[in-house]
Amino acid sequence: MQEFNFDKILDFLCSGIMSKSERQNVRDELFDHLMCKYETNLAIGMDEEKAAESAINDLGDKTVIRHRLSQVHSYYPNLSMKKAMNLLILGFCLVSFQINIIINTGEISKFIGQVIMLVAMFCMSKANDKLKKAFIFGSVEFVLAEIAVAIVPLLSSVVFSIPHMLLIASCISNIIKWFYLLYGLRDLTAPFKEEYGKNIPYGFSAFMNTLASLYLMWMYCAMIVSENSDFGNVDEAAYIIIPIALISIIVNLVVFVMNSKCLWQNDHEYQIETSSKKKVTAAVLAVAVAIVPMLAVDLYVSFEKADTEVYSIDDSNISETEYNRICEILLSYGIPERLVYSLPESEIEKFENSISATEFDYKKDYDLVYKNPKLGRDGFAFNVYNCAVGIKNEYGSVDSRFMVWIEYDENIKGHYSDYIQFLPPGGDFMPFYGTEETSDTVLILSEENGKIMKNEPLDFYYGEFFDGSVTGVKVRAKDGMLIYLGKNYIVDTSSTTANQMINIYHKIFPITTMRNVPDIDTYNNDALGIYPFRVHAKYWTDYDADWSEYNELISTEETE
Amino acid sequence: MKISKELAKGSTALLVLSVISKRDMYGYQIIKTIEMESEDVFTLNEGTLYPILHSLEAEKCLEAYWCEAEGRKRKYYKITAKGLEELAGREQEWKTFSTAVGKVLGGAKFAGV
Repeated sequence: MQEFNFDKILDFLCSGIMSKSERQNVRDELFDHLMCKYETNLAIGMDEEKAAESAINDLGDKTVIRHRLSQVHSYYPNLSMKKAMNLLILGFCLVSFQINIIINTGEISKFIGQVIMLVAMFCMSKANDKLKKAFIFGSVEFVLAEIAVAIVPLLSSVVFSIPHMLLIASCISNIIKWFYLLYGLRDLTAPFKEEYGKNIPYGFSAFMNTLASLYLMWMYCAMIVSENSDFGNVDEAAYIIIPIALISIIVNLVVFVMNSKCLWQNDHEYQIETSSKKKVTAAVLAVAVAIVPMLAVDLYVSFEKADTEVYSIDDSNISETEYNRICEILLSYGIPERLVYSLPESEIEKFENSISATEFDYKKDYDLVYKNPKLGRDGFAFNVYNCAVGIKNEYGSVDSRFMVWIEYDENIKGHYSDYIQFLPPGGDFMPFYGTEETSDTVLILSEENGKIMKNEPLDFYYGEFFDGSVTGVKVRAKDGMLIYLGKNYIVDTSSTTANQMINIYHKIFPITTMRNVPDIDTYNNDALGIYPFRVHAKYWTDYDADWSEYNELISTEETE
Repeated sequence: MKISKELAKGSTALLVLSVISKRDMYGYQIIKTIEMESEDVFTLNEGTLYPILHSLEAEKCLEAYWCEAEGRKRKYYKITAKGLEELAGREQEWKTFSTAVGKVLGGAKFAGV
């Protein structure tokens, strides 16, 4: 008997079977079946073509057969596709919304979400080739991102770009993962598309995910090129990335839900059997094992490497007079002495160079601007002491504040300064003033277990336009720390730039939110951020001056 | 008379196990045998039969072996001890079910089917 060529139909029927040997077996069996029918049809008098056509038609709905065969031969009993799909949605929600059940659990919920998504994709990976690749690229993305985060604290700034390159590679994997995942799901729904009657936006979803990842990649590239995390740009970038991310999250969720509805409409017996519990357990363990070294590095860095030590007044080398003066000043703000921490000598930059007004070049050489309404600048000399203090606030945590204490020469005692004003070196956004050498401007205070800690900077970043100006600082961090950056650091409460820097480097167990350091008397309340502020002289000294002149000056300035 | 799909759905595996328990068979033969023995009441289609056969094989209720027939490979199925147990269980289930249905539908007339 001549064999008819049923290759096309057999290829289609068996295309959902992953295993090559099983596919061949099923193919042989179905071929025998079709041939039996074909022969029977020939025997009852049909011509060859009609006999073959009839044999094929008698099979019924080919898509359903293909689908059922692929179900049976996924050979992964127990966890159904439906459960895997629900897991995927749950994981995606955790990743996307980073649920903060208690403070700062966002990163942890994201991490758990990523693991759940991977487990779900692993469960689905036998359904078709695309979903299998989605799982592979999802795993690569996850591992690369975790490695990038884990190695950051171990690297010096010389190899700053390595983590970012890993993150870029992770983004590329992410794009590929989404394409395979979405188009793999699309293939699953293909047999039921007509019945469902709605278009599921797989393509648009893939496009939005790509857009979001490309934007992240662009940011990482910018960081590599500039060799630092450009805080300002990161903040600006957030305004663009947030709407893109939001749209892609919504579209993804819509796709997932529509996908589920399409698959299980009319109570389809659509149960792609996926991975066995045993295999899922093995997959979870494998992910856990892969993550352990990264967690270990992270924990090591967190608990062992943070270079901190407790601040104590006993460490301070400032004189009793100086200390008392500071306390006196702070008391005028209503801050009692017991709440005042002074800094050791090493942390205090003392400007003892008795700048005379004739030498003083306004706005050029110094951040400090002095004005005296009574005497003017001429013939005036003073010493300036800087001091950073940690002040317990009403919430029981500690704010760091910057204090300047001016000590007058003996011969001018009795006079006072109206106000001192701190200007940023330029109009640009500058989180820190001054240079590394004048390191009073780069003091990092932390709070740990109720104690003020100093935290040595690892690295400094410098501005392009003002030589030596410190624009950023990199510190090691311990879990749960409150981080204060710089004593002059006055930050817009809505600014998350510094937090982003910390989060980038310390992803799994995030540092608590950067505490806003309130200014003492903001010079420009309308423009929050790093701007000059002034401390009125009345707080600094006991004097018997005529305040009317001072008040007049202030009101004149304000009018101007 | 053809039986509705819904009604036949739960009994397909029972029918398949039952015919294979009598002798080893291949797919096409199973369909033809069931058709014949049920006097054309049950017509299994391929989309139902092969996934069921493969599932039963995976569950070790059936064993398969290949033979050469009419110049091509042919897959035969043979019932296992586990398959026989399964068959006995399903038969019992079916009897209970059909008796209960009979009682509801026609009292004593249908009881004891």
